[in-house]
Formats: sequence, C-alpha cells, structure tokens
Amino acid sequence: MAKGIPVIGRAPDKKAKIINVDELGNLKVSQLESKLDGIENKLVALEQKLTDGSQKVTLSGTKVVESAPVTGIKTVTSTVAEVFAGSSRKANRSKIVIRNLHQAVAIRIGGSNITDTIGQSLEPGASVEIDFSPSTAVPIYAVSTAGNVYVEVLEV
Amino acid sequence: MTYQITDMGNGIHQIQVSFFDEGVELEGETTVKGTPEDAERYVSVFERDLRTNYAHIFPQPEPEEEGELDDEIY
Repeated sequence: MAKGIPVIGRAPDKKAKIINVDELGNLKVSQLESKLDGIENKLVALEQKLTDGSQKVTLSGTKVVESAPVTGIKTVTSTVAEVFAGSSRKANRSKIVIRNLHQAVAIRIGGSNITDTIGQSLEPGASVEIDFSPSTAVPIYAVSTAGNVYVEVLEV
Repeated sequence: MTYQITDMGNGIHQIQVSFFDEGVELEGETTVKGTPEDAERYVSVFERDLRTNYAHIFPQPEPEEEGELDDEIY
C-alpha cells in the first residue's frame, strides 16, 4: 500500500484523478510499470521469433537466368546413372528439365536408390522439371526400364 | 580418352574422363550406382554422349578422297 500523500492529477482523458506518491515523493506509477512490463515481454517474444529461424519468408518476383543454360542429349541405360546436360552436373544449377525422347520406353528418375521399377516414371515423350537450391548440389539419377533411351536435358 | 573410376561408397562410383590425350580440352565427370563392373560398362556410354554433345570441339574426320572411276571395271 502506498504510504505517500495522494495528489491531484489529470488522466489522459483530462479528468481529475488522485495519484499516490511514495514516502520519497515519487509518483506511484504501478499501472504504467505493469504496462511497460507487458510491452517488454512482447518485445522479447518478438525478438525470439525473429531470430529462432521459425519465421517463414515468401519471396515474390521472377526467377532469372544468371548463367548460360546447358543442353545436351544423354543416353539412359539399365545402369543407374546421374543425368545432366553437359560434361558434368552444372554448378549452382537451379533447374533441370528432362524429356524422354523414346517413343515407347519409359525411364525412371530420382535419387541413387532408384531401379527400373522404383522411382518417378517418365513416360515416352514426357518431360519433367525439377527446381534446385543453387547452393546445394543434388544429383538426379535415371535408369531405363528397357534398353537404351535418349533424353533431352536442359540445365539452368 | 582416359578415364578413372573411384568408389565413393554406398555403391556410388564416380567416373572421370579426359580427352586431353586426344588434344581436346574436355573433361567429364559423372556418378553411377551399382557395381564397379556397372561403372566400367557405363564409361563407353558416357564417352559416346560427350563425343556427341561436344562434337564441335573434336577434330572432324577428313573426307575420303574420291577415287578416279575411269579405271574401274563394272
């Protein structure tokens, strides 16, 4: 309980209000302190959310090509082999487009664990686009379900 | 063409090929999943694809000279 002398003041709404002072003459601002504590807690929580990596960011705009695309024809065989357009996987690629050029035979694509029966099927004439994070190198493998199959590959 | 196969573990084999011995500045690198024999077999496929896709940097074979037909008997 305040032991000071009550003084007359005015609230923000201009109405007269009694405000207590303590024994040293300081105004009792317990309500204000309570509000400030609440604001501080909210700021701490906000800081935590902004720095703990839990926040999602949505980027808008158009993806741009930053280096020359590479195109090529690859032979997909019964051996599970990496597929890319040039002489090796394009550095910092952001996309690969693979088109099955065969008229009758499907291939399977995916990670290194694919087989001729396991993996994403790419039917004759069909194409697939896969987006990558340029900073992460992820190999894409392909295998034929029967014989050799030519595929057209574009890497960006 | 020279090549080297490296076991990367987990059944992954890296194939590195070079055409420097043919005077062509081209190197290639890929990986296959399977046995060392699978990788060995795939080398020729990889080589053929590289020769096709980079045909413009390989020396073109000289056209055969046409022989004189006058002396040929049909």
